[in-house]
Amino acid sequence: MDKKNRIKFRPSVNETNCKACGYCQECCPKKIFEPSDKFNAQGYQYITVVNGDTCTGCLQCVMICPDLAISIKEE
Amino acid sequence: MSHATGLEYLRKEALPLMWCSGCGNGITLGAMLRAFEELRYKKNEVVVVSGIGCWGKADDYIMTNALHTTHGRALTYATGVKAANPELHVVVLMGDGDGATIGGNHLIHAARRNMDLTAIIVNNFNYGMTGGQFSATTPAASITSTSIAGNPERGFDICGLAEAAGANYVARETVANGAMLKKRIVEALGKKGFSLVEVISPCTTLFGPRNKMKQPIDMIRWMKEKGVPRAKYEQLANAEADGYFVTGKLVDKDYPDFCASYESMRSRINVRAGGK
Repeated sequence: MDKKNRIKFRPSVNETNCKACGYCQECCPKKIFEPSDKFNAQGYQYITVVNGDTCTGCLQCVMICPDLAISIKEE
Repeated sequence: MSHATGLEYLRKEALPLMWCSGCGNGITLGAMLRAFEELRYKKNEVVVVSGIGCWGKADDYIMTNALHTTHGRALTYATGVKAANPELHVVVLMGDGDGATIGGNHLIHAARRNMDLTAIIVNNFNYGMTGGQFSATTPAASITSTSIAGNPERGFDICGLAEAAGANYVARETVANGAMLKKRIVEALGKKGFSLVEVISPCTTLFGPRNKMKQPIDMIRWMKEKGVPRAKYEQLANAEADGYFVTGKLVDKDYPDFCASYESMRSRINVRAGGK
């Protein structure tokens, strides 16, 4: 499949549910997760997606997130 | 969405999950819900029976039928549920306290009886909810709140116990590999007879920090290093002493389950009594 028509993956992190354990940062081969400088209601510096365009949809982050906070949509 | 998310079985209004940052319970919960979705289980056909402890709280987040039972006795209630209605998919959620320590005897007999249950034992090596006391699965020499100089006892091999007791399916996986964990749960749910999945899970608040794993990620790295397939385990010199453990499918048999044997015995009696 050529680059233009390939499926695009849109990862997102639920700010409220994230507990900033850092597992997604560790397992992501494209290193698209970074901690935010803000805190959520639970008191954690929740994880944000910084470079979501490079996501390959490998789902490792979804499988390892202990708070079911990561979702990946396909376009 | 092309991949199973399991979100239809998740009680979203109960989020965020109560467990600590990096706890393996959430990973196991997610893997289990995705397994339900892959098998297209209907919510009213599934009964989740849970015991007491951090993992025992998992039924709060699941939209299927749930039964929250007393400590160590989840398997006994589940046996009753399955015997009363063999059509149900009965999943038993236990921690190492429930499954191996307080309810250890029930585990042996559920496996011996070969009840068609799927037990998911999340082993975090200590009693997390009550302050990190050592349990029957705490490895020797590990530090816990009741063994401050190291555990004098040896840890239990839950999978070995279930295998010896006659379980039809036994597998061990770590939460570091969520995709494989989901695969094992799917296999276990599809298996007739007693199936057990032991999930090696990090206790990031109590067990890890006391045992030189200060951050949650240290425990995941430890699991990735120490959890090895059986072939590699056998090649390693001093594998047990170095803390390695076998992951993967350990037992896969097709011995008739309790409900099938019970029906065949009942039909024999009915034949003798003249078909009544």
